[in-house]
Amino acid sequence: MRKACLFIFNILLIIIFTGCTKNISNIEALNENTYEGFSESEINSAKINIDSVFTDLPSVLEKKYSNFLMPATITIDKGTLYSDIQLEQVSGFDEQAALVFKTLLGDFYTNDLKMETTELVFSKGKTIDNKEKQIYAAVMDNGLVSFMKPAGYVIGFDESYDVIDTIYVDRGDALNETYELSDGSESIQDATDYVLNWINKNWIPYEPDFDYHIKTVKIRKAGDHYMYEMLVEKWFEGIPLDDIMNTKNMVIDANSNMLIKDISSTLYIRMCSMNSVDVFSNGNGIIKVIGHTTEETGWLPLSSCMDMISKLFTDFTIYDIKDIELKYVITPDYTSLDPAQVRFNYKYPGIKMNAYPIWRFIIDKPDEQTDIAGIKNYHIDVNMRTGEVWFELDEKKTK
Amino acid sequence: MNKIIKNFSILLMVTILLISSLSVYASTLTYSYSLRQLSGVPASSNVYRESYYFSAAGTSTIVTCTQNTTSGASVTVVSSNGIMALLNTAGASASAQSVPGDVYTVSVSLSVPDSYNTYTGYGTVII
Repeated sequence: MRKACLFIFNILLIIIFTGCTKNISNIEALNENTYEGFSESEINSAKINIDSVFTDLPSVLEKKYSNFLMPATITIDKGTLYSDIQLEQVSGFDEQAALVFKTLLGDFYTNDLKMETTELVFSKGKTIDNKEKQIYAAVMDNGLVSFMKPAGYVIGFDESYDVIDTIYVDRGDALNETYELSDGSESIQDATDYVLNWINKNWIPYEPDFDYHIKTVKIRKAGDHYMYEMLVEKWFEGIPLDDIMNTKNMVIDANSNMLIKDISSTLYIRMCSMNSVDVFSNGNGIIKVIGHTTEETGWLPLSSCMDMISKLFTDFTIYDIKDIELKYVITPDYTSLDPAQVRFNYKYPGIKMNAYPIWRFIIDKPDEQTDIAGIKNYHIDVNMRTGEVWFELDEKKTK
Repeated sequence: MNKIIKNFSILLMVTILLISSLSVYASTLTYSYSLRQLSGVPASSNVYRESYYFSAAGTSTIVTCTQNTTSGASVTVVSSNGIMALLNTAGASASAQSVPGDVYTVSVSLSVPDSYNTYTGYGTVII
């Protein structure tokens, strides 16, 4: 009797573990976070006309998946969809450094600030660094612009300041909270309004192909006061460019050149004092749109992509999707550079790029695991044209 | 005795001043990495690299790499602001100029002498 019980127990154990490992082999087969294993017929049968791409949004949220929890609501702006956008990094932008400094620093720009030429390994430009007046500013040939005004000079880009809260402006979070900045209190609403006005007045002339939208506001504690840290997205005709720098999607070629295939393009702003952009960087420099193409057919709707990833990922873990986004992923075209040029840098002046549309499924990380250059979430991307899947679900990073 | 205390106080003050002057732009990021190349697998089809990005905090970026690597293997560090170094001792570091606010990428990869053995490397990258 005892032996029979043990036998049944063992059989049960085997059944349980077999059940739990359903689809795990799929995950193990995923090489370097990508999956291209859906059959062509499977993908093609799911494709629809561009006019119908947005029609299934409500039904996706209502459907139950065994391994994904869906958000109650999502906001997807129905912009003009392009199958491919051609972009180019600006070159020689440092020639207008004096004008840029004057525009962006405003009253803090004075004639006695010394402008110096800075040459790095892969870029060159003009910089100001005045420790006495606590002003730093840089304008590089590829359009990189960064500055720190006195209220943000010591704080700079240091990300060790504690994150108190993260407000997702793009998800419709309330902006009515007020925090004490270095020289007085200001609400998040007033701060975001100010920053958007500042961008429209001062930044758009330098990068006019896009509209600018604040995606998130992090509230950080800086000593006995707070600061607002804003991640600003660039939108092209209603759809944002990627805000996540995906460094895992890269190869290193035979010459040790780092070829990143998926880059972000955003603005990064810190407001430390009332109504002032005190710390600014556009991270990957300035890009311009040089063309775009679209196709009437061959688009993967959200419902099909959701079904695909639900089949792909294991039932062992349930992923809580906090948001679904429509984005353009930016891919540098390294062949657009002269082979004799340094091909190390994805933002080399004049490099061409392409952007393609994706559905992105966001799974939030805790605040302490986010990155300075953008809100870093776990995410699963599905190429709306090819069905290729990219995912970032586990990153070994500590602060 | 008083002289010793006085000298010590001065030394302490100078140290504090030095540390506070360094705190302008100072920022530290720590990434943990774990890399492995399996034996008998061609290096080209194997993944033994981790990459990260960071927003430079100062006019100079120092990447320090602590590691514990199988004998014979080493870790190569490459960054998009010009660092390219083979680090084969624990705590080795390399540096390059940077522009505060510029976004750079740093990659650590395992360099191995052959494909007949399994090699591992793990540690942290501190920027």
